[in-house]
Amino acid sequence: MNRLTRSLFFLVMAFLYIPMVVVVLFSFNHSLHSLIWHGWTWQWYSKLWHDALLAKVTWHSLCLGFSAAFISTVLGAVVSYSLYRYRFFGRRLISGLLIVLIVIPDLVMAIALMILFRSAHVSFGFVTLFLAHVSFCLPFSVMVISNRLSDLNPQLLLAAEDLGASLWQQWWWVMIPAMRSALLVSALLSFMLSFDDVVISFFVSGPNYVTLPLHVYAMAKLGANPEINALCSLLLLLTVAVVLISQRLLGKKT
Amino acid sequence: MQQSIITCRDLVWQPKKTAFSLQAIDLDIYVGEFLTLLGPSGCGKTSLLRLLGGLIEPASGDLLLRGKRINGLDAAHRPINMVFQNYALFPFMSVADNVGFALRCQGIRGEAYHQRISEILEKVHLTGFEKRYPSELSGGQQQRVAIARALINKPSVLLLDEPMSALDKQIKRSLRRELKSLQKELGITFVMVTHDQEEALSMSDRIVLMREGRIVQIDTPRGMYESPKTLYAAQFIGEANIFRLPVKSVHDKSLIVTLCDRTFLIKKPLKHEEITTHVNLIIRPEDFQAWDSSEIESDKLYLPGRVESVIYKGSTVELQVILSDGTPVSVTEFFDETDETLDYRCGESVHLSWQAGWEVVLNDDS
Repeated sequence: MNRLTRSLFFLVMAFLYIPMVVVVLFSFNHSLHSLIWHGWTWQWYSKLWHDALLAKVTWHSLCLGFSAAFISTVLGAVVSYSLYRYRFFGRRLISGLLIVLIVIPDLVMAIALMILFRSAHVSFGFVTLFLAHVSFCLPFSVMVISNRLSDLNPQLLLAAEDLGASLWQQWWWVMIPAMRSALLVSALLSFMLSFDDVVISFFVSGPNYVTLPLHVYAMAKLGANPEINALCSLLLLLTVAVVLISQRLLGKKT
Repeated sequence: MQQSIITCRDLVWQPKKTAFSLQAIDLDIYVGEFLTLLGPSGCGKTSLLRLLGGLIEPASGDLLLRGKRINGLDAAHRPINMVFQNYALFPFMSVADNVGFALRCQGIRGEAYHQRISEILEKVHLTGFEKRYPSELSGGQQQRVAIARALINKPSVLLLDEPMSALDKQIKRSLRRELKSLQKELGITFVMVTHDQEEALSMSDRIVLMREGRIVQIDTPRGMYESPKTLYAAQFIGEANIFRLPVKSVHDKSLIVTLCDRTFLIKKPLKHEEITTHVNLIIRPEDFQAWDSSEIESDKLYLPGRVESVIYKGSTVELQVILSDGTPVSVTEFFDETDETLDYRCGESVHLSWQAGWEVVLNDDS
């Protein structure tokens, strides 16, 4: 790299990462409103820890994230397996539609889901959030798992069949171990997608079931709050952990 | 008469939506033999193997195992197991878990389970490899794991679907030898699919040559090479010079043909009524001998030609010769005590002869 490209490179990196550094830094700032450094404190973290409402919405988000991640991964595995194993009419269409779901604007999906739930008279709360989150996580799960299956030797299943494995045994002993890392990555990805979703959740949640991102959104509208900085820093830490784990899992393909 | 273990009677397989099919497959597979299904890709050899294994079902005809009809019996319930292309070992299981897979499927656990795994591993000389993973094994060891895994249920027949197709040439040669000797030791019937004629010739007791969904010829490797029944067989197995010649006259035991303005008397293997206006004369490259003009007395009985190219191969020399009528011919000469130098130059004129009686005479393929 010559000097010009090197400086440009650092500039781009700075542009990308300075906001995060600022958030983390200000989460330790000993001042309620000022954007000037007033010294070091843990107080925002401790305040966060004792916030009962925040604990409640975090719990909501965790429940939602886990259940959506689990169900979307299970369904993703079934769909990927069908796409992999069987050649049926409309197979390519389904693959294509799943990609459309990945790039479709959140707003469109949110409004579509809201209208659907309204017209079906489903009361807005956990159920609607759960269904919405599964439907936007599923395409990602299918993508991750299908990608892994495309490297899988199709003869493995024939071999298992030839050796007398029932359909259940083929799943349990061959498919799941072969997909194991992809299943974990799919679950982590779905969890993260669900955990930080605002747009879709905003349209399909009810007053009794507010999620963490919706709560933060409401808090932020009331003005700068160091508590949010602390929360964002924690979420950042969580994200980095998830990325590291999934990279390790994808890196070593068993 | 050898006892057959599998018998195919007029088997037909017709997949949906494709022009391809297997037609009129009649085949007896004998107890303990090494049989090879040979042919180019798309000839139906793999489909036939899958029919035997029960992975696909015939549309009509009978498939018999020791005289009992097994049409419709699924793969898991046939005493026939398969070794797949590139072995298809489960990469996330140890050798012992791979080999014991079929036992676990039947719910066999505990003492009996481990006992049978160590028995079969001993047979394929892999004792002590139980805890290794497939990625830690050499090609030969993987082959033996795949065979052990397929043999754990004591099948009557082992099917091998191009087991060595993706390996490099050096390894292939040693694995062939190993597979052949393992088959002899175990005494189990092997049916192997291959498109490699060298593999088929060197390993099989009998070869089934296939073309476009039909069996063309069933013969021993030697029979297949020395007396092909069709031009297709002659061309597919080994190299062959084929001359399509007009028949001059037909006698009781011979026929007379002309080649390069010379008349040749040829033994008549075809029946009288089968002889039409033309016959195909097939001569293998190694059955030709090339002489220079000083070595022969009269050129009446020799085919005159010109050396086009010379390829030195260590133990042999391969010549491309253009005959005086323009036909290209391959000739292979061996270094032996009668001819130690074998010095040929491009453009040199040579005279070819062949061992009378070693030629094969065939009609056109129908």
